[in-house]
Amino acid sequence: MKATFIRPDLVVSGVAPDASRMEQRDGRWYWRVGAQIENPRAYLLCINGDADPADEECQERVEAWRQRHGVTRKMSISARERLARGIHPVDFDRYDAGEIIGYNADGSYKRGPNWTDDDGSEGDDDA
Amino acid sequence: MSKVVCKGTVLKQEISSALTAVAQVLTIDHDGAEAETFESTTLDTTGAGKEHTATGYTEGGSVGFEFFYDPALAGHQTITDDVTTPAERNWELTFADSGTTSAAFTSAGTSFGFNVDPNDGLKASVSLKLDQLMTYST
Repeated sequence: MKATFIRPDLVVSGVAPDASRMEQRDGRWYWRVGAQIENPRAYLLCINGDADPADEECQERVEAWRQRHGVTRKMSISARERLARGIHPVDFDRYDAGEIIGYNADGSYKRGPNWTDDDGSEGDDDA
Repeated sequence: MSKVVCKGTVLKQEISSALTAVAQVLTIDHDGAEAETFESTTLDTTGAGKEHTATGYTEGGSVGFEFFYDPALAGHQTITDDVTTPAERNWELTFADSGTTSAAFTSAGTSFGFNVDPNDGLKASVSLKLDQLMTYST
């Protein structure tokens, strides 16, 4: 089963470095966007929003999951980006509404494009 | 020197040779690593204080986390897979500090349980027994 990575922030784990499919940043190896892997569980990366199917076997498995759970590719990718920003579940609604895009180092909200002063919270405008 | 907040902390697990984030995590804890010692007091120990000596071994402890459980999510499926088919797995905690420092570890055993409460979302708790030690960022 094959999949192609679509995110640049996936640290390589458990396999030897391969400069043709990986890149080194800050002393760590990351999968390149567009790198392909072959693994019996590659479909899990696709439904997680980390990769796209690269063969029919993976495509069928992913499509079956998406249809069963009513989740589109766009939804998976959006949720994965939310995850990458470390959004806590209590703030999911605010993030999804575009009110926040993450957290500052002091824990205050980073304002999103739909931030309103009615929130009554302070944060930097980093949209 | 600064106080690091916890919002923004990301827990990652290895899926198909990639470290990817686990969704909907609420809390994470590590019950502590302990460098083991043995009591080495002898009859000719001077003073009243008992002596202890390091064995050279350190217990890595366990990492636990609670999350809103969705059986459909890839990361959550991987956790239950490790219960039904035990396997070691690489994990990484990325803290919310400005340098996004991380702590990496390998789980040797997984325990999983869930709680159904009509006044709350479906939640699950996981405990990961560490193989050897967590790698702390230095």
